[in-house]
Amino acid sequence: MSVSTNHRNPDKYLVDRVLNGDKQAFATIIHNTEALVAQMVFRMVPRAEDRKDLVQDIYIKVYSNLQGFRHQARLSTWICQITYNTCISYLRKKQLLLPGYDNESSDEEDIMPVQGPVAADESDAQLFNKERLMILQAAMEKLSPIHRTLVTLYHQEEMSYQEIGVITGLPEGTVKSYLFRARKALKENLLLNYKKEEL
Amino acid sequence: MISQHISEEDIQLYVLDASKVKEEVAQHLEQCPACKARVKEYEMLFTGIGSLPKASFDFDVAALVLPQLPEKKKASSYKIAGITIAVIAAAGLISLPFILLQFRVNELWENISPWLIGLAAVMAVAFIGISLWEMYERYRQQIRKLNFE
Repeated sequence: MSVSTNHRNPDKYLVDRVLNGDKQAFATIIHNTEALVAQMVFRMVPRAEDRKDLVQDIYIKVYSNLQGFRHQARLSTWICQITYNTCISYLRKKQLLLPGYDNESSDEEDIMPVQGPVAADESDAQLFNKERLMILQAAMEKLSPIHRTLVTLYHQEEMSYQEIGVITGLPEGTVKSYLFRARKALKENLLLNYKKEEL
Repeated sequence: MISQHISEEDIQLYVLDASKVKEEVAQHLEQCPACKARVKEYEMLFTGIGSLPKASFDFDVAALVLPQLPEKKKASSYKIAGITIAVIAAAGLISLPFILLQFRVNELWENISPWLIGLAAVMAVAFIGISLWEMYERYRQQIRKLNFE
C-alpha cells in the first residue's frame, strides 16, 4: 500500500501518519529523501562498507525524533541536518576530520564511477567529456568531506547558502567562504591536471 | 573601467550571478582576455560539477530500515486525559485550604510562623530548580541523540 502525498502539506501529512503508527508512510519519507541522503553520505563517508550502517542509523534517528519535528523547516532539510551531523560524528570517531585532511586523499576511498553522460545532457557532454569528468571526480575526492558536501549541495542539489547553513549549522558567511575555497581548489587542481596532460 | 585584473571572488560571483557584480567589474571582464579566460574556466568547472553522476545506494533503504524501527509509544488520548485530570486535581488541592478558610488569606498568613513560610519558599524554589534541571538534562539527551553536540 503506497501512501499518497497529494496533500496541501505533504510533510505534515506524512509525519502525522508515521506518528499514528503508519510505517508505510515512513517508507514514503525514505523514498522521498534517500537520493539527497545518498548524495551527502557518499560525499562525506569514504568507506563504502560503513555507508549501509550509517544510513540505517540516520533513518532510525529520524523515526525516533519525528515527534520533535516542528515543521519550521522542510522535512528533507531536517533529515539532511541529521545526515550531516551523523556523518560528522562518524568522521570524528574515525579521525577522518583532522586538520589538513583537505589535501589528503585516502587510499581506502571508494571513488564513485563516472558513467557516460546521458543523452539529454548532450551539450554538457560536448563541453565536459568523460575524461574531464573523471579528472573532476578525482579533484572532488581531494577536497575535505565538508567542502565536498557543500559543493554537492550547492552545485548539484541547487540549494541556497541559507539552506546549506541550516543543514550544516554553519553561518552563511562561512558556507560562502568554504565554497569559494573549494571551487578555487577544484579549478586549480583541474588546471594542474590539464597542464600535466599537455606536457 | 578597472585597470587591475578581477579578484577570484568577483570572478566566481560573476559566473554564479553576473547581476551581482559591480558595473566596473563587468566592464573589465568584457574587455580583458585574461579575466575572460578565468571566467571560462569557472563556467567549465560549474558545468562539470553539474554533470557529475549523482550518488545512489545500491540497496533498498526502506527494506533495510523498516524492520529495524523501534516500536512507537503511542501518545494516547488516555495519557492526555490523565495529565488533564492530574492538573485539575493539583489545582483543587492547592486551592482547597483557601476555599475552606473562605478566602481569609490575610488571617492565614498572620497565623503561620515566618520560619514555616521561609521553609516552604525554599522548598518551592528547590523543587522548581530540580524540575528545570531535569528538563534541561532531557533536552541535552535528545540533542546528543541527534548528534547536534
